[in-house]
Amino acid sequence: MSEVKEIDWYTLAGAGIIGGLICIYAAVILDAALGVNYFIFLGAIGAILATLWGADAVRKICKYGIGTGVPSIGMLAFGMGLLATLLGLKFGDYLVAKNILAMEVVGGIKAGLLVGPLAALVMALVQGFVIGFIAQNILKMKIPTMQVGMTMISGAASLIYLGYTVTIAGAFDFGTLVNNVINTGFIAPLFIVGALPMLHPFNACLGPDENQRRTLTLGVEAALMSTVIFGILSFAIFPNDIIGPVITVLLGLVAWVFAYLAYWQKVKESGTIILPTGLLPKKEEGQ
Amino acid sequence: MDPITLILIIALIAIGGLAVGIGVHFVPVGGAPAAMAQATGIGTGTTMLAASSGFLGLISAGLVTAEIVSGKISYPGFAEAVANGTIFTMDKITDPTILQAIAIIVVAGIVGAMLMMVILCVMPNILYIFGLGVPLASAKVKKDPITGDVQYTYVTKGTEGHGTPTVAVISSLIGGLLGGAGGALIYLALLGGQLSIATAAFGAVGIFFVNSVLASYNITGTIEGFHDPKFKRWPRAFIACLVASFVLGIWAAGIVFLGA
Repeated sequence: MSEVKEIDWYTLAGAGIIGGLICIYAAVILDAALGVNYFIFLGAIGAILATLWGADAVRKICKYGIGTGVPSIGMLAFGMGLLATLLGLKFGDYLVAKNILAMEVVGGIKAGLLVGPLAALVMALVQGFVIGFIAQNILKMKIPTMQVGMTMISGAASLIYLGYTVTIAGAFDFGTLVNNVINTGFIAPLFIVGALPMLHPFNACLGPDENQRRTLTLGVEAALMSTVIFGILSFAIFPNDIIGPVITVLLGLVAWVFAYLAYWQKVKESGTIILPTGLLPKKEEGQ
Repeated sequence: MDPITLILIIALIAIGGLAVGIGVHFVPVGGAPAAMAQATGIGTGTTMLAASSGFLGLISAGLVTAEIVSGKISYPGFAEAVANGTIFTMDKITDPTILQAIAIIVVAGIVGAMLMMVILCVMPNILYIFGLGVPLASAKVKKDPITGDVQYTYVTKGTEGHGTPTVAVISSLIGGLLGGAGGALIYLALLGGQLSIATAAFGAVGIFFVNSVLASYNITGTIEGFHDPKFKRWPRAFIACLVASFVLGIWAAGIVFLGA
């Protein structure tokens, strides 16, 4: 098979951070400006971009073998991302409460609130940097990509939390996250189903012929499946206004079919023909 | 916001995370080979083990907290202190009634986590013995340090032991004790900072995951218990988990501070 050039992980990080944040902001601002909830699916697209970033970072770290199985790193990322995300969003709320940046931008959203996701991402990146430093220098794991990779997966986890929070609840302030996502118990599926598209692709595809395109296609496919699940959960938050959740679920399902077929195509490309040779003869010839 | 409260929240999370990290070193984690009876220990990875014992510890700690707050178990003053966020102030923390309430919640966490550990050790042992037909043996020591039973003659060639022998079960109980106490302390620290019950529980789960995964990186995935030579690496995990939990504690204290 011809070698396809890999996408650099800094390019994917740029796509994850910029694309992810734009999608999350666009979802909330468009919904607020028009007074609808049709655009909550954009949050999931932001989360999918972040998933691609995280899944590539997971594959760059785990290529060296971490000894504990790939899933552990996804759980680590979501464990450290949760408190950092909560603190970032709380910071946005605090700015509004203290009347700093309290001017209204659009549709009742205060400027201070918009700082929340950015603050959450920065906190998560700092957290990941610290944990990466610990893993590399104190635990002496001797993985050259550990430091940068850990920073990246922590940031990706934070953006995935934010993206799916927008999909479930339609907003990214601290109160919404706590009341509509955590206190309803939706945080439990968000913790596991949100982490799965990030940790599963490399876990499923690893091996000598692993290639980036196939792994990331599986990441998109798994993330779309999560999108459908969170779309269904958002019916509980918007019981009287189900157009947004319906759009999310339908778009998720249609896109999932395409992603599944694309992944199937990649699997067939990587497959090899096996020639049947029959069983070994009972006695060697000539004896 | 009382600075003592913030300092205590950071300290409790750091100590709790440290207990979880050290506790993982005591748990006989066998990984996938153990599931096929080719290595000693419980047949799954650290993450799942930490999650199962941590969750049961949190459920029992949360249950006792709910009983105290609703007044079924009487510790006067505790419910109000949790509700108005004054539990971690100097005069409350030196109040014997509040301290007793904290102690009973931590003990509940320990009971839950130890129960899960012993279930995870003993139930698979029944399957190993009567289902697979393998004796319980450790390949890391020649004689069981607790019972004195000979081990190496029972280890199948090409494997690293099978099942969970007595010393590993005892070790897992110590692990459950440390993990349960750590999880309950983190939960209490977050709950005392006026976070909602669910936020405190999932914040605790998050911190639990970080420390258990860091500890499992230190033991490179598998360990048999305190008799395993890998156990000597614990000082590295001590520093790592302390620093990591301290940073997470600062985030939690930040949320509590901004919430005031």
